[in-house]
Amino acid sequence: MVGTVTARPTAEPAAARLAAVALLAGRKLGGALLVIWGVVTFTFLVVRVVAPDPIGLLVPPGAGTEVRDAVRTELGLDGSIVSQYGIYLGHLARGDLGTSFGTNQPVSDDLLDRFPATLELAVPALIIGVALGTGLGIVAALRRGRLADHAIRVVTVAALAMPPFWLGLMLLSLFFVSLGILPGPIGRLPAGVDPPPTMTGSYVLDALLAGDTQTAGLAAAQLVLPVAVLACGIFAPITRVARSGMVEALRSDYVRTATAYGFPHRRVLTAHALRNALLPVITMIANGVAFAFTGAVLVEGVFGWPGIGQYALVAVQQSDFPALQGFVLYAAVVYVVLYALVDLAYAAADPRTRS
Amino acid sequence: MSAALLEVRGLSGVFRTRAGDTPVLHDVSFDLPAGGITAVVGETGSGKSLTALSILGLQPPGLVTGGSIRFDGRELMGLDEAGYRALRGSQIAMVFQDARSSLNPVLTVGRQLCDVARLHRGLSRRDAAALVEQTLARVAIPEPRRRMAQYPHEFSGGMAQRVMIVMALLCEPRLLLLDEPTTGLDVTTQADVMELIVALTQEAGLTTCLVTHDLGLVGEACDRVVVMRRGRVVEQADAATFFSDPATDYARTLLAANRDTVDQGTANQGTANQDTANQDTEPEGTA
Repeated sequence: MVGTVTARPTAEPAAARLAAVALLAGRKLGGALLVIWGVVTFTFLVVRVVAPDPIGLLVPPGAGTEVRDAVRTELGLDGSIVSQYGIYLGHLARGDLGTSFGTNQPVSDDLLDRFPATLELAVPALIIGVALGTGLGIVAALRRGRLADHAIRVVTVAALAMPPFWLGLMLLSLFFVSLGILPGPIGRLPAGVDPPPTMTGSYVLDALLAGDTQTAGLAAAQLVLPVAVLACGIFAPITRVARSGMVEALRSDYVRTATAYGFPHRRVLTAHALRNALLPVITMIANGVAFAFTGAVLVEGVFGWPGIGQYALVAVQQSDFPALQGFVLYAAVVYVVLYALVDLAYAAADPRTRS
Repeated sequence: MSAALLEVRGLSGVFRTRAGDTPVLHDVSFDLPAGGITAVVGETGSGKSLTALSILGLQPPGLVTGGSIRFDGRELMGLDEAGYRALRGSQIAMVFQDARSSLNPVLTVGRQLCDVARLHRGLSRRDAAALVEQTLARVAIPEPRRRMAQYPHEFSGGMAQRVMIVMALLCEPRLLLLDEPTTGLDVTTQADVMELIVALTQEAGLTTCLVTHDLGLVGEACDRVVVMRRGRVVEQADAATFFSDPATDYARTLLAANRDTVDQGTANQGTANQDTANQDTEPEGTA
């Protein structure tokens, strides 16, 4: 037996593991479709009950009944709610999200147009938020009860307590209005500057690729404050979870075992404590991704950022039903996909969830 | 049974908190003679586990210890991290209560054992795996190769405790410390694990220190008994003397209580086993 050792003892039977993961994925997909249908239906009803009648916002005041009825018919709002819902679902099944009342363009085109702007904020904010959150959480746990821990707690609680849009306004009043060292809330580029030719969708990267460092610098300056605000909303919950996970792991019996068997402190921390401590951080990262990908609606609003969040904000103001439904559907898909990924990540990272 | 491998002299321990100091160990002194099993017996809160943890410098933070612990003539009190690291595993190996939580839940059992074998034996990955497999077979774990690819949650309590014993054996230590190794296991498994500990001690010429609250477990197995109560050593004697002629009232009470359990056990095996098992699964505070 001993002489014929070939396979590594740590490898699991690959086929069994794959089958388990596939089963999990299949079950999740069914559940996900159900959730999306529920969200779509709920939104459809709520906007029609709660939002002001869009006709009043679209026709000039004092317009006659014929005009109003004509507009109503054109927007597809003339039938009963049930028949409207049937038509909407039919279109949705074919991938048609409807046409925005505001832009007169297909909602899916509008969302695709605005997605790169949101992504340009989301990616750096997530990188900063996740790295900062995990790092601070680990430091706080290792320095538990000492100055660094208290300082990190104060910063984290402050970040959690401040609504992002308010923080955005405060930062603008400090860095733009008072100090004048960062640009104002005017979107992705200052007025009069042409966007670079589209390649990646990120103005900073596209300008760099086109060799236009000046535009790249301007675009990067526009990014600073909104990214900072988003990162603030992302790092704080991650810090708290990483800290408590690490504190728990450091107290655990298996860390004591590793210490009792003479492993160096650094190795006990990395090989044993860290991996367990970071498991619950997965969920928090997913929350951060969802927050960033929905453009943290009000943050984009504050900074005049032409992303998906601002699109949703305008849709609310204009009772733009198809746009609003499109945004909620997009957000629902983002969440559903993320939580499916979270489950898969746990299945891969924590053997206890597989059995 | 020659000179003492470990000498504990005047060990004191105080939990220092903001609310004040709580002394938990008072002038604890005892010897572990080389090449035998010594049982340190006491009820919950007697300080027996803290004493065992202090030997390897693993006491909880906040416990300030004083006195002297000499291992093979060398003073251990006041060692720095590097000094303890040279000792842990290779000289003194420890097996803890609740084996399943003592293993890392996200690493395979084989990986954890191989890591220990590689650290203390300087083996290659492949040689370590072979040695681990052999050693698992030695403690009667069936299908050791398959078991090595599994995670701790896939092991029963008794099997996990065997894994922990294997971890200790892989280091080829001179002193084996067992802290409540059978607590939480069912009665049959307790007996199996104890039997294994006794056999391995004799086979490997180990010096073994068994910390337990269960006198019945100690009975035939050990050579020497140290009784602790409320942070003090109240009695220490050879096992034969202790069981036939205990010196203190406390020891007599312990023995009597144990006899009751044993008598019940023989009178009505099924239910008594149930009772003992329940009693043994109660959480045993180590403070």
